[in-house]
Amino acid sequence: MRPATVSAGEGTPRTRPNSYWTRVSARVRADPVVIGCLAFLAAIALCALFAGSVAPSDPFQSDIVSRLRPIATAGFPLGSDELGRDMLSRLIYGARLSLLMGLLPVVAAFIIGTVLGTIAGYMGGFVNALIMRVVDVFYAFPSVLLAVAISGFLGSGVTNIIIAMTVVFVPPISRIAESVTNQIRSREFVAAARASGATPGMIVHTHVLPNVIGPVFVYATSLVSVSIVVASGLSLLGLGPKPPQAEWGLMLNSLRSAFSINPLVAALPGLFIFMTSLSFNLVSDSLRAAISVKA
Amino acid sequence: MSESLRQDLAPILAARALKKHFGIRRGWLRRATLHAVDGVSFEVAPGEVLGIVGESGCGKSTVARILVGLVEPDEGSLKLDDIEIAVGNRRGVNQVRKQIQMVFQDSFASLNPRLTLGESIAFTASARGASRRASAERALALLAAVGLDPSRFAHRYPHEASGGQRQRVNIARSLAGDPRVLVLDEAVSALDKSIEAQILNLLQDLKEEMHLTYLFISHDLHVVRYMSDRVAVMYLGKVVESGNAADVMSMPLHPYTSALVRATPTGDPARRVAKPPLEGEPPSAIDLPSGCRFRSRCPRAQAMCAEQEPALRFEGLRQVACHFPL
Amino acid sequence: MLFYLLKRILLAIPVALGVGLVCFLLVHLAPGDPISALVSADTPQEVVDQLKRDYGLDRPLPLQFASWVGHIVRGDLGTSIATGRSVAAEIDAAAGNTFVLAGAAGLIGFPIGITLGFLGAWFRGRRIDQLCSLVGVVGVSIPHYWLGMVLVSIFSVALGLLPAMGAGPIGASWAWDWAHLRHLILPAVAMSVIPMAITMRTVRAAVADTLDQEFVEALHAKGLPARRVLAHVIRNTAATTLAVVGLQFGYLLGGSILVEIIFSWPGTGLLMNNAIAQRDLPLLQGTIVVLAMFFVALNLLVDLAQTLLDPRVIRK
Repeated sequence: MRPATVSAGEGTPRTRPNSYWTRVSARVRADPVVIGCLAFLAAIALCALFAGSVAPSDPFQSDIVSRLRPIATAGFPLGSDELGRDMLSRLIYGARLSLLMGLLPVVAAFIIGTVLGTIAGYMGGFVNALIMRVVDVFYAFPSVLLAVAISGFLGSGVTNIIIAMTVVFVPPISRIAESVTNQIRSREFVAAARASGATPGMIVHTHVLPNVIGPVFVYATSLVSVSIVVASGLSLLGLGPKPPQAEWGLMLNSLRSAFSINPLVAALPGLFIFMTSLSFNLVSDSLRAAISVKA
Repeated sequence: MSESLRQDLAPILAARALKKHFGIRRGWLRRATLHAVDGVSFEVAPGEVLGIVGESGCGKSTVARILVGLVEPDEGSLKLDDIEIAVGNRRGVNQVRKQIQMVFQDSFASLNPRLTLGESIAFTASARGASRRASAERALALLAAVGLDPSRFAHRYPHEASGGQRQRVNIARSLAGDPRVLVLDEAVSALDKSIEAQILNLLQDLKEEMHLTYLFISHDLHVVRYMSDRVAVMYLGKVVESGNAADVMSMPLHPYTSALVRATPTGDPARRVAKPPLEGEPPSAIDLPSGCRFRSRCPRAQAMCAEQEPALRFEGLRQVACHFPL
Repeated sequence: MLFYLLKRILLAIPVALGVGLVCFLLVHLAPGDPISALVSADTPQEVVDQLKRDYGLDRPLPLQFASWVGHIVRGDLGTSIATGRSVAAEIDAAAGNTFVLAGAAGLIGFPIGITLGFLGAWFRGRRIDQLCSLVGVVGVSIPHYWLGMVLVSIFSVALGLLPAMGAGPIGASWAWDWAHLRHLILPAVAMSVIPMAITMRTVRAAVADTLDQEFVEALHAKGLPARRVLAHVIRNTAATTLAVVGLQFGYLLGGSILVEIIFSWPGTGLLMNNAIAQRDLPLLQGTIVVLAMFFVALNLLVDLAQTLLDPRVIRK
């Protein structure tokens, strides 16, 4: 929350707000590739949110007779899977779980990681050492290995994948938050705030956090694509939702044997994972470029 | 107010034997001590401007930070109105300490780039417990008080204002908590000369209007002489001379002060300095010379100077730390 | 310098212990009590009780951990439930295969990544740079398991050129002959893409950074030949490049599971997958421990090498 907004009353000439985020988003919006990606992601999100209305058929309706129909068959715009279910509908429904497993861990890790990192960075000393050493231990695992380890032991299921991926992402986010907080803490305006007698809580809230959240957020966006790919990969291993649920990684797994029969249809779930991941990466890259331009 | 009248009033701020050492690492395992502030004492009367001058590294910025509570001294006492504020983080102490505020040198770094100028000022006001509305109003009032049109400046961001304007905002911000003492740490050093003059005049006006006391820290003797009633000269963590500003500048008693004065360009081409008044560089604050700290560069140094460190003692209305003052 | 290196080595020990602790505690994540996770369902009760005593599960947790560490250090990683063989033996056989796969993927990916990254930075702003950046962002986004499947459908199913599964003729162990190498090509390519892309992006950023420094412009202005600038660039970016290559190699080793299951490559990844499928938790835990410890050791090596290459890297 910002401190008291100072409005200058009547007769103030209207100026466009020139805050940090308006400038960043202006730069991002200028890139046509990014606009395209955002449009695609919006479409996927809409599919996920309104799957029931968007999907043409029932994703669980199987019909063995119509298994593995090619793309553009009547009644199966994107073909059918190994149990005769409509691919398009399953892909649309699949977006729900795939996006959930991809986005939620990053969001959760963003919150947890920023809090941990900011506390560690601002307080320094023993608290910092304690938090960061624990973070280091988890950071010492390769991410896929850690994700497999946690969900392998917890058991399969969407919740467990989300938990595992969150644990994987908290350490890198904490590190970035701690590093940025350290830099901000030594800036003169923080010293000025301390000299003015504000409590540490107020200083962190008004001065430190707003300056930390930006860079950490942009870093977090670069993790979304990894999260989607790895989460779907865990699903592929059987650690995710169970059949007959629709989820892109799971679908890819069950269509593996179908690759020799109808490769185009079998490749579709992976294609969607790829395109979603690519879009997130392009947007994230653009954001990173936008904030590193000096004002 | 005349000099003698001021001396009769009880000092608003009194520092005694302030010491701050920093442990630093040299190379691998050796540790050394940096004597940043090594026994500094001074008093400031209400409404007075005390200037503190010295070369970089003499400890004046550390003194400033001790005054506002950003750095805790290792030894010594600091009293505001006879209330000890040098130690501890107890609530009562913090409340009193808030009556001393500071304006920093780098006007841009002192402001949060994400907040508008108005919000930065309001934050300080609300840090003292004012409500959001009251803080906002106070911010507007202070902007006007420092000569900035609130309707034009309250919504601006630091990067949209010039150095002089930002420094005015910093001054306004430091006043937001109704302080009684303002520490100005090289507050005008980074500004163009013409702007510097404006800010100095502003500071003087504010001092009269709001009954403030200033500690004016600078390395620029001209500015210090212009602003200050009294001045203290620091060298390597200690005060070597203090007294009435005009007197100290025109008739320095300490060889170091004399060298400083002579080294300052006067703008009078007739007065050329034949050779640099001071030779060599200041010894490091880590390996201090024995006896008087200045003896390695002092033209008047004698055997005694290497053996015994001179104490700060009175010579009339002035204080000098030298065995053989001028 | 030596002191600093020693310090880094010493600092790695608590991290290794922490990693071990996490691996040790993993078993407790599993639903049910650890013993039921460690044995199959139809084990007679006396055996279970004996195991409880052997594993010291009736002792406090810290003591359990200490004795577990003692076992690990002696090379005893427990016994696989599914096969009955020692976990160490299973890993031993598989680890070599994963190493080969990771090594091959690295051999393909790193040189390409470094080259493209360098080219992109050298010609920054021009079309080559844009092309390289495109390759980079595509490579980073691609699900490598899906790529593996696509490669199989093209090269194995459609063209019949390369095998789709396994590491060689059945029953034979790894050998460096064409009969085995032809199995290596597709999985190695699939795995190489992500490290290639990450390496490319990192190298490009580092080289561009160095080239953008003002004094490089000054060097150019003084008429310094490109060769010398090149040497300067290499000197400055060697440490970063080494770091990213090392890190990515670690990921290749630890994260090979997804590609290994697509190709049924008999490595540690496939081992873990089977362990998960069969709830063979000792095997799973043992494999994780080995891979994680290797990653820690690799990070330490990279750290030390970085310091030797560029002393400016020394952090507090």
